[in-house]
Parts: sequence; structure tokens; C-alpha cells
Amino acid sequence: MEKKGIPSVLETFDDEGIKGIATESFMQQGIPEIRQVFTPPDTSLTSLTKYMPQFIDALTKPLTDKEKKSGIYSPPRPPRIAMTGSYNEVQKYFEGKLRRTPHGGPWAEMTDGLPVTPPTEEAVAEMLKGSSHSPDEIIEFGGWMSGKHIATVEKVAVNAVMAGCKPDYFPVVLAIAETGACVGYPGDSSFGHMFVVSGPIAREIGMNSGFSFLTPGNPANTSLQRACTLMGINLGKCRHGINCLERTGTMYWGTIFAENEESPWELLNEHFGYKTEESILMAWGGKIQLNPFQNIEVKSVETLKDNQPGSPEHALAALSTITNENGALVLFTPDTARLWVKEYGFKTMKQLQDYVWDNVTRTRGEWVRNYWFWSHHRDVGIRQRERGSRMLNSDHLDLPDDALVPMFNSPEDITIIVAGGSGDAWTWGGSFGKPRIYSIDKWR
Amino acid sequence: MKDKMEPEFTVLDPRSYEPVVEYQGLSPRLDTLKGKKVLVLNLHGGNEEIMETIAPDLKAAVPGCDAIYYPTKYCFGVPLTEEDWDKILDCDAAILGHNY
Repeated sequence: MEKKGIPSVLETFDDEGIKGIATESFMQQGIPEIRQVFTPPDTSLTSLTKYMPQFIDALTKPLTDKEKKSGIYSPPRPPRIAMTGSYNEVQKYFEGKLRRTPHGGPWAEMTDGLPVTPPTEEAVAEMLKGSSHSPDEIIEFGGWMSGKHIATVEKVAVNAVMAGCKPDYFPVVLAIAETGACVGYPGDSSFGHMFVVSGPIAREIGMNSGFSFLTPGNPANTSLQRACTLMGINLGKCRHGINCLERTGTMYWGTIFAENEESPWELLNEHFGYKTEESILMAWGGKIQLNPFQNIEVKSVETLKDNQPGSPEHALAALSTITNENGALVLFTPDTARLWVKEYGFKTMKQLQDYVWDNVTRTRGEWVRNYWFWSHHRDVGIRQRERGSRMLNSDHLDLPDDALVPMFNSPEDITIIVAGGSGDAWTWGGSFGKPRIYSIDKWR
Repeated sequence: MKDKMEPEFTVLDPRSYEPVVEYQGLSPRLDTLKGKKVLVLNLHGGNEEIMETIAPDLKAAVPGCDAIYYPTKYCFGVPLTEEDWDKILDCDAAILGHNY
């Protein structure tokens, strides 16, 4: 607006993090001096009357010389060589000046808080052998919370070494880099990042897709997750308390595991239109959660034998509790997936996706009373129909209050994953819709 | 005192850098809001109901100011539409936010 000649003022929460994001965002958009009126970070506030003089001043008070100034800003670039020192000195350097904010910390500067593998010239050169891409190739990071940042394949390799990755993991690390890695969110309690690898590279590098696939201990899964965190900090510039404002944080911060290829259904690479010999990375960002099946009880199931593998009735009961309509995750062990094929007739993932989508519903009345529906989807009818969704749209607004309409955007937003050890178990949870798919092979 | 046998490491820097930014000064301010059209732009972030209170408050504070409340078509994070821009470019000044 300012660039189009319209004097503007931004109403901003008087909160260190929000102020930091707003200022940084306007700097990157070339309006560093944007005028702001800071209001109390209190969502129960009902009036801004006493701030009117500030709004009026912001739009009428003559500009200062600094506010009138135009020019070019070249942010400082870090040197290629960081430092030389002993092991402990290297660790101290990367930990940096521990940063506190009024409501959190302290946080390390360039690490996840733990010692890292020193990224020497030799170690980074070895890591770069894991990909045919040039060390100078540019990869851009950043998003709506942290602005744009520029890195290279070599910078990704530096972070991969620090995380403890091996060179043959490097194509996966680069695919994670392409997703943007673990960057921050504006403010919630459980927004995170989760990845699943499908295809031969998972076996080649020894990823765990069996027993305890979510538990630390497997070198590939664990170091790849750490690489995601470190790239988020160093390349995506995730700064907790500044541009990552999660009030509690999440357990899914770069969680990565492999699909179990003993799935009775098509493998996920095939499901997303790739060949079985191609390796892909599925990436979710947003509200990620996986809940153990024991959290959901249904009355018709009385024995452990019936309860352990779950049933369609369990799945509907569980997924109906999700408050976010964007999507869901359902994860089966191979044995449970086979049982669902045999007992319930779900021969393809698509059949299961359609079943969940058709049967997890809300009444029209519940929909329109939902806060998030009205605050975020005032134009839901147009928006959803443009996306081809059969979810609540303007046609549904005329239905009676008790009419049932699907809860999720589309069947494709319900992702079915097979992973885990032998025996029966299933987990369920929410996500921000269908995953984004990245080729790992392009980074080999 | 440092052990002479302790190995030393020369390490590479793991950090990215920000792009060069061409920045510009703010647009000239208005002499008065009286007789001017001020758009109160709700960007849909969170506690947005309070944005609806700004236009009437501004009208009360500056008699003759044509303060108009306008919620953007989509929510925070989605680019403004052509319809949004038509509304914005038709005003003399803007207050934007989503009270979050």
C-alpha cells in the first residue's frame, strides 16, 4: 500500500515476537519504517478507542528524514570459514550467545542446544559427495514468518555434517531443505513438521520403518530430523520467541521415518504418481499430531483382540474429534493394514480415504457455530468450490441445521500411512491437509 | 592453559544470508483525515472482531472522516485479490491489521 502511494499504519500486538515479525517482514518488503500502533496482546479487548489519536497521528504527522529515505540495504553475510579452535571452542562458538526473550529461552544461536559434529572443510567435502549438485547451487529458504534467506548446497552440507548425517543421506537432506526445513509459526501450541520417505533410498540408507520408528536411535531417522532442525535455525532463520511463537511447542519438529514396504496397499510413491523405484519425501507442516489408538474407545468393541487393530468405527470416532478440517493422518502397522483389507474390504488406499471422507461429518449447524470456520472462511463457499471440494460450501449454507456435511476438505487430505513393527496397532491424528511431495532422486 | 596436543578444527559457517533489499520511504502523510476516505483493512489473523470497532471510533474522533471497514477476501497469508486492491486503491489512507 505504501509502495502504491497510500499512507498506511499497521495495528500490531504489543508483543516482542509479533513486533519483530512485523518489522522484519516490512523490512524485507522494502518499507522498513512502516508506522505501527501497538495495542495490548489481549484477545478479550473489545475496543481500541483510546488508540485513535495514535492512528490519526500515524496517518497525518509529517514524515521524519529517516522515514522519507530510500536506498539499497545489503545485509551482512556470514563468512565462509567460521573459526578455528579446539573441540570445546567450536562447540562454544556454535552455541553462541544464549538468547533469552521475556517469555522463554535461553536458546542456542546455531545449534539445537546439543554439541555438533565440527563441520570441517574435509567433512563438508565428504558430505557433498552424496549429491551430484554443485556446492554453489542456490537454495532459498524462508516464508511468511521469517522472510527470504539465501543458502547454497554447501551450506546445507555444513548443517548435515553438524547434525551427524552420513554422505549417503545427503539427497534426503537436500529434499528436506527444498521443503524449507523446520521454520516457525506465528502462534499456536502444536504446529510442527513431519516427513515420510517412500522409495528405495529408505532401505539404502537404513531408515527405520519398523518397530519404534518414531523413537530416537536409528542413525538415519535421528540425524535427518536433527538436520531439519539445524537447517531451520541456520538457513530458515527460525528464532523461537521471535518468529516461532509456539506457546508450548510440539513433539513433531522434523520427525522423519520411512514407509513400511510390507504395506498391502500401493506404496506411497505410487500413490502420488511416481514409480516404485523413485524415492520421494512427503512433507507436512502445521498442526501435526499422532495419537495412540487407546485414546479412543467405542462401545461395540469389548476385547483387546477387537480393540488392538482398531475398526472403521474406531477410525470415525477418532477422526471426528479433530478440530481442524484441513486433513487427517491414519497410520497402520502392516499387520493391521492387512487385517483391514481382509476384514473390512479396503482393497486400496483410495477406498479407505473415501470411506473416511464420506463418514466423518459435522452437522451444518456445528459448522457455522465453529469459530475457525467463521473467522477464516467467510468466503468458504467460493473458496471451497474453486478447490473442487465437497466440504461445506455456499450450497450447504441453505441446508437445515442437522444436515450432515463432510468434515475434511477432500478425500485426498486424509493420508494413509503404513509403518511400524509386526503385530497390530494403529494411530491417528490431524495434519494441515495433504502432504507436499518432493523428489529425493533429483538431489542424488 | 590449552593442551598442546588438543586437535584444532577449522569449521565452516552454517548460516544463510538475506537478499539485498531496495527500500523506499513512506508515502507523504495527509494534512487531515477530515473529508478523506480511510480504509480499515482486516487481514483476518485471529481476534479480528476488534477491527470492526476501528472505523466507527475513527469517525467519532474525526467528524467528516469517511472511515470504511473492509475485510479482505481471504485470510492472513493469502495474497490480496484484485477486488481487494480495487478497494484499497480507492482510498486516501489505510489502517491494516488483524489484532494478533
